[in-house]
Amino acid sequence: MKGKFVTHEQVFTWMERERGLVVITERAQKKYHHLLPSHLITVKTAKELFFSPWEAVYRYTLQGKTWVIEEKVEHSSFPSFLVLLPCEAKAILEVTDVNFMTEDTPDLGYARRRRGVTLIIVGCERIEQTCFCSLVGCSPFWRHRESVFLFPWKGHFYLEDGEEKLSLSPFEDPQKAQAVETFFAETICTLPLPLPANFPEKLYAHFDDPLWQKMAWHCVNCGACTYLCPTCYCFDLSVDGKLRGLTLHTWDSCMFPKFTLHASSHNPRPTGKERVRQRVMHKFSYFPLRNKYYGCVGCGVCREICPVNWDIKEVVEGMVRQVER
Amino acid sequence: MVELNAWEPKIVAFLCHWCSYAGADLAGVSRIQYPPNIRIIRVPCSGAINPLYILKAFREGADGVLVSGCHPGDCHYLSGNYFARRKFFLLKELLIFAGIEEERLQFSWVSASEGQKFSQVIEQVVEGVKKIGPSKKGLKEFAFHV
Amino acid sequence: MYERALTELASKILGEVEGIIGYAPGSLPFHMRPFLCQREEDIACLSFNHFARPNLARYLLTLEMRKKRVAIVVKGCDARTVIVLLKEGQVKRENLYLIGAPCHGMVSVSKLEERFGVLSPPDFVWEADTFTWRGERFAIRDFLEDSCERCAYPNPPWYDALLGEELPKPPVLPGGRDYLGRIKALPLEKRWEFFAQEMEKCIRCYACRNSCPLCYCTECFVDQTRPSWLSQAATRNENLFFHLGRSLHMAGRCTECGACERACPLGIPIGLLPLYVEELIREHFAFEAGMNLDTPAPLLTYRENDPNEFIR
Ligand code: SF4
Ligand code: SF4
Ligand code: SF4
Ligand code: SF4
Ligand code: SF4
Ligand code: FES
Repeated sequence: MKGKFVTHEQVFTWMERERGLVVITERAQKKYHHLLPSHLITVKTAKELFFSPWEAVYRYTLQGKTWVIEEKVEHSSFPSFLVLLPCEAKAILEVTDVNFMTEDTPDLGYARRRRGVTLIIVGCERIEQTCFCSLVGCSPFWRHRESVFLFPWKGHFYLEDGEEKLSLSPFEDPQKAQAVETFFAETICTLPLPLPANFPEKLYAHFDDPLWQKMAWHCVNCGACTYLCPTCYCFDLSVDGKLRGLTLHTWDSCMFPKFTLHASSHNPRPTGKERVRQRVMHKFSYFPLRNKYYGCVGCGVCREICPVNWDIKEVVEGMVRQVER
Repeated sequence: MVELNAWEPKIVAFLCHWCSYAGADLAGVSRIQYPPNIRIIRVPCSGAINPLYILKAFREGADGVLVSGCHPGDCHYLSGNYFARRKFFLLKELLIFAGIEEERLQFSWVSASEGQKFSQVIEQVVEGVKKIGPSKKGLKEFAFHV
Repeated sequence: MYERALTELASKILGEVEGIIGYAPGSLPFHMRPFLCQREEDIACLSFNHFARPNLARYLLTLEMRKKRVAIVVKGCDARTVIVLLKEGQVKRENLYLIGAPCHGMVSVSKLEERFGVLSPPDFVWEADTFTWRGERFAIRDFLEDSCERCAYPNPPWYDALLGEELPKPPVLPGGRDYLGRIKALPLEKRWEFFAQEMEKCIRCYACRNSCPLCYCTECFVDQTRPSWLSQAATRNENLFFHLGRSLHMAGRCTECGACERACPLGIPIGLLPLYVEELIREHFAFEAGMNLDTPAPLLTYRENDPNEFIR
């Protein structure tokens, strides 16, 4: 039995005390504003803390005939804890970390920011209309050994792995902990079933399915879904300034026409259909084929904010039917 | 730190080739004094100025922008400045609406024979921009360049 | 709303047109989505209500649609954007069939949430100007999207067929909802603070631009590299550059449909900038976009007595 308990107050005072070091995602804040301090620093998405919307990599100047290039070093202080929902945590641990923190070629900026941060996952008491985490291997109680896990339970917080990481002193109550575990297990049974086991392979075979055209039709190819998606990690390198300037590392989106534009002006993804297909394929086929986890955590953010109600869950379910046919 | 009284504004002046640019030339030839803060960009007609040029000038660090063309009725291309005037009006009002000081962006009609007026305009523009100080909140304060 | 009129009309014209661009219920409650009706069996899906938020004129410009003769369902503001597109030669009159939908305004989900908390569809019963929530009656007027609160033209100025009856002109807004007036009344510094704060939030996802039917450039100025106008970094000032530039590109074209603003995932009231430009144009150049095909666009014409006092 792993879990112990802490009082709301213990967590609240701990966060108060560490205030400057604790960052919370907007979604977690919205969900738990009644239990957690209200003035914590918030971020819109969990990823932006490590994968900055923009950052300067180099500063360059032409001095006489030589280019002088300096690396941009950050010296801003950095938080130590990030409070977030299970899906957001899974997105960091099993998608963006996997992408950026590879052994041979880590993304230095990401790694530097990510390394010192402990994730504090707060499980979901309520499942939103837009959530579909159980389809993609996540759950409202998703935990990870490297992170702290909290769950509000009958006036207390159920706590896992928080003893050393946050130096809290929890109390034990094996009976109550058992009740929590049972609750988790029972709730998970009621959630929709995961996607079929070999869906990534099957989807891959449907690259040329005419259904894509039909599905992509009403997407306007903005970047709202990818920019606010906790797992989307595409970026662009560009320069700003001719004789003096900066090399920029900025978010990019496969929805944009320039994303795959070649210097020859050929674009292998000329229309919305190819771009939408890329977005779905990457998350549900290419990424899982290579890294065993889905590239989507089912958080439902994109469903909620899409201006034209283009719905990835519906599309994926449509594709499941199509590949099983 | 730049000391404030040592600070001199940088002003980009888009001048029409047929009038204000010649007016600036005349001011020079006639040895009429005006502040050295302006960087002149010659354009074929005020009508050739895309409002984005003006925004870009601010973005690249101008503290103020002056646009100067031929008097209404005198445009070398007959009506370039009439069309331009509408765009300029909208841009100027839009910037003010967005909370950017009106002194940042100024306009004038200066003919080729108005060397004196040209120097006065520059004086007024520089004075106006000096009064409001460096473009901190304008478009200039782009995080990378400061 | 209008379901009967819609299905009757659709069965009449389908065949004559190759498709009907309309709305169908979305995958989430309180959402309608763009729907392309091309077959008899699609007709039953067509519908219209207070959640038909997107401006469908956008879809007239997709490659496949440009080649076809299509019908499109338009609210007052959407019809005006179609007129602008016609005027700019982006669509052909003979390829178009406008189905006008007199519009009671679009309801804002966030305003509903603010009032009723977590929304449950069965709690609501919708009518044209009112709705009930658990039996209690409310006025639609109090929950409209900002853009719809400002609306002056609920009826399409031009259409081939109209669903239902033309609506009376909406009442003038009570003072508190005069968005532009409220900002104009602020001192310069406060206005800057307001916009600076909003620009700080913008992530340059371009949902605003891509939802606007009039932002149809194959290459937007923000994507140009020769010259490059601004960088890719979403900093406050670069964002402001983008939005100022876009508002100027909208000058004399924006029909105040609010699609840009409703699209913004961060709730930035980004429509205010183009809206202000339109107000200037209305006041000083006596022009309103998308009202007819004949009046020349305000930036393609001039008057000798245009405002001149701002020039030395
Ligand atoms: S799915 Fe929606 S949010 Fe994503 S690009 Fe398409 S229209 Fe934009
Ligand atoms: S549900 Fe949407 S936003 Fe969330 S991870 Fe999946 S694709 Fe990204
Ligand atoms: S939709 Fe909103 S966040 Fe996206 S670019 Fe426009 S204003 Fe910025
Ligand atoms: S700028 Fe905004 S309000 Fe104006 S037409 Fe475009 S989407 Fe509509
Ligand atoms: S902002 Fe301007 S350049 Fe960009 S798409 Fe809109 S009209 Fe075109
Ligand atoms: S030629 Fe000078 S303004 Fe047109």
